[in-house]
Amino acid sequence: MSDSMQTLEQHTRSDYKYGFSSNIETDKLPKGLNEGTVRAISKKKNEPEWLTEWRLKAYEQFLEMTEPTWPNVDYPPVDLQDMVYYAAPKKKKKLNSLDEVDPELLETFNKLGIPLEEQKMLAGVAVDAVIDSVSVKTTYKEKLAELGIIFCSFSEAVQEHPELIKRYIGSVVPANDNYYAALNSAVFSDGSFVYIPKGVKCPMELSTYFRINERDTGQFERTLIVAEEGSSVSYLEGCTAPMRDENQLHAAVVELVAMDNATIKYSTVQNWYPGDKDGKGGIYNFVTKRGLCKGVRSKITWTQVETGSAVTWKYPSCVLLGDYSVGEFYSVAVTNNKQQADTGTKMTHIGKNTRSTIISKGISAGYSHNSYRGLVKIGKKAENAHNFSVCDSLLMGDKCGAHTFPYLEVENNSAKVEHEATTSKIGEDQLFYLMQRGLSEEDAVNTIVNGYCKEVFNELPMEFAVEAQKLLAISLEGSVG
Amino acid sequence: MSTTVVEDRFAVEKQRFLDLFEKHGAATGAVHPLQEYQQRAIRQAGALSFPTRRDEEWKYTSINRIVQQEYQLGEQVAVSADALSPFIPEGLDAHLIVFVNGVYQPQLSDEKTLPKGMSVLKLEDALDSDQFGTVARGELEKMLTEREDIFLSLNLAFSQHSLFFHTAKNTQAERPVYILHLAAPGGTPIYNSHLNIFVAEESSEFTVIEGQFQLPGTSGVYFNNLANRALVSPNAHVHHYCLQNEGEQGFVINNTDAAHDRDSTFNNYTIDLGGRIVRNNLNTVHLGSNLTTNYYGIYFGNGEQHIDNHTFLDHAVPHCQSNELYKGIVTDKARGVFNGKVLVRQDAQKTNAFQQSSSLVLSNKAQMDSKPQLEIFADDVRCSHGATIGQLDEDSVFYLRSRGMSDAAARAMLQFAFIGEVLGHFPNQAVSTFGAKMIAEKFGA
Repeated sequence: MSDSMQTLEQHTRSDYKYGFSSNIETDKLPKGLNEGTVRAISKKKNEPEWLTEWRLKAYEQFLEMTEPTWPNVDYPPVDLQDMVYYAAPKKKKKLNSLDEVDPELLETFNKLGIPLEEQKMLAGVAVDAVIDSVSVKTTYKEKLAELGIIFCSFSEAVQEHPELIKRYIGSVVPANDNYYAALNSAVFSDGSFVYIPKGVKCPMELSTYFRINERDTGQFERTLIVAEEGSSVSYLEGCTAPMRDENQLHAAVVELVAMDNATIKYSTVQNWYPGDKDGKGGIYNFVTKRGLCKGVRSKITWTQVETGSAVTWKYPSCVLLGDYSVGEFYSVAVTNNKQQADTGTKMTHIGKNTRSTIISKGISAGYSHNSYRGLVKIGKKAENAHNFSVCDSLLMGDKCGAHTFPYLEVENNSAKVEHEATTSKIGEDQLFYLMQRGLSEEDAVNTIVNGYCKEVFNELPMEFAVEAQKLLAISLEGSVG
Repeated sequence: MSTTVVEDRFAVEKQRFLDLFEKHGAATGAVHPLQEYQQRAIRQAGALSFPTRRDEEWKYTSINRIVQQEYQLGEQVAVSADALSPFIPEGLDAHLIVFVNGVYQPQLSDEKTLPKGMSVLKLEDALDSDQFGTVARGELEKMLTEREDIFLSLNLAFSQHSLFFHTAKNTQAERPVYILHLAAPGGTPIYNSHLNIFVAEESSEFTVIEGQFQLPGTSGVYFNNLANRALVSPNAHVHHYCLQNEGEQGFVINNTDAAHDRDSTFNNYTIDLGGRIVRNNLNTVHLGSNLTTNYYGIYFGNGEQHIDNHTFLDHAVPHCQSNELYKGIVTDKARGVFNGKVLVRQDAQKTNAFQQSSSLVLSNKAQMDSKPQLEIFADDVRCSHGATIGQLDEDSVFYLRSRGMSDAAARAMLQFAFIGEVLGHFPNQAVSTFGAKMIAEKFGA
């Protein structure tokens, strides 16, 4: 055990792997939040009037709301006035090829391990890289455009496809849904927009990398994905942020709409800066993600691997409106040191014969707290709804905590709801077995943890699954004991 | 419990309780220690407020209906010994203590023949006695300070006929004590408070059965606000049964708080069949290691019943185990709630905690809300919970029907088998059989 204690110490002393900050000139608004800020953002982005009004209405509603206190997390209050609401890399000129992109920015991406140049040829992944709120470069757009797929930054979509934005914005997550969603609706800076036309199967994984770069900037992303009848899309979101001392707020909104027979798969690997070993710094990740299965036989799958952020609360949810629609949620949430996570899902069954599956795996180590909070609601008219939930927690060390708060609300007598949860530590016998086969303790733990998370990793696209496994190993390095 | 409610929604309703106390409790001149506690309790109730559905603990249960009534305290009603027989489990040999409308009935009770080492006293006598005074005061003190619950405060404030149970070291009480609460409501809504304090000294064992029923031929609104406190010493074993089949206009709030020490056992067996709104709070805290807590619960709601079971297990020390099994059925417009919280504190290594809650929702208007909750701060533990909400298996119904049973009979049999499993865990055969009979009668109704 003393060996593992040493490795634990090594790990906890080690610096955040992605902690660097790049010196790109940015154009930003002064700190503070008021109606002027909202108008200024809207103006800077040259938005149509209806969107400015929409933002202002959200801001009005936001003013009447208070920050929720129910999550099982503890953090100092966020000073919304001490924050920059808009920071965009200064536009020098319109870019047509990668060569014209700021070399420093390219370097940033390279450090992150997403070489844009190679991405085209090698991975077949279209990357819409978002750095501090404005999409700098959208790759593969033309190729996708041939199929009628729209994949662009949110602000671009506002300019070029206002009718789509107007129809769908706020249709899944209303502006007054919750405190942070309202804040986002008022001040959102940019994000991604995906539109898959009828009958089109998107031929590649769409991907965006978020990075919070400018010091003290809140990141308010807004993602909207619309999949028309019979279409399908898989969307990847990866997040890292440089090391900063002050806590940074990230309050994003993600809306998914799936029409008849459409499928949306949304995968997240979140590795934002979790703060140092004493819990100093790190990102506050307060995100509202919701998918609407609007049509019959539509399907939305959320897969998330959460290893970063100092405080996380997010509940990727599915509203199963269409008959025979399917909602799935697969999650691995890892917390170490002083991280806190309160995450889970909401499955709201409204249509007939709807099904949902929840697989949640929580791993807590160090002094961290990991909570699963989930709601399964079967509405009065949701005949033959079926839900299956598993939420397992794994504890490493005796200073951490694992909590589960499942809510099951059933109003229909034909529903089947099953929920099970276990909490345990890594079995001594399993560890012993692997170690007597010659594996080091560290490797043995990794093997067991990977096996434990297998059900979720299997749902991730290949490239992500590999990255997720590595992240998991890094996050848990040496936390055996 | 949140106390920082900006605006007290039930301020008027609370004032009615305070007035009721003014009318009865404060009238008597002499100040007995119990009355001092009651005065403190009513002051505390005055400072607290009734929970609303905005309180997480009361998210699924509205107390609106309960507190809106204008209650009076229960009056003495003459009941003959023969009238008791339907409420006494057949073959149960027990010391009987009877309350009607919350008023103690000495002529119907026979707690005089208790075995050596076991004492049952009125709480006020216990407070006066040299032997039990300290421990009784300690329990009341804890009741006032441990939790901030307005129903607990109101319970103590109005607890005129409360009881104090004590088993001395090494006492094994073979015959259980059966506390029978009978309600005889009439025109005005009745409010009853009753408090039991159970103290089991080292290596003693006893069984207590609480029966809550409405006398046939009576009808009306009543509210039973009950509280139990159990202090279980090392190696002592306490078995606590609650058989509840109140009338359809009866409201029940039952708070049971148990604390037990090393090597001991605390078992709670609950059957909830009656009542309009029923809320059970069952809390156990562990003081020593190597002990076992078992909760077994059955509920069946029909009509417009609302049955809410809140259980809480506080694993504060290592090497303890707990088992929890709740099974229930809701049909018609009934609503069932299960909230099972298991807390494993940082030091409570080697804890084994199992929880299972299964329920059947049999009609379109019935509703079931389930919230199993694990909060775990220790790593070397095995904790699991399972919750299911579903229906009868149609294949099983078909099988029974193919054997010649009617649809109704087949369903009744399967429903009975579903919740009957829990009865199998009741060690007292007479109570288990009586429970089965009560359930069968309810199915028949």
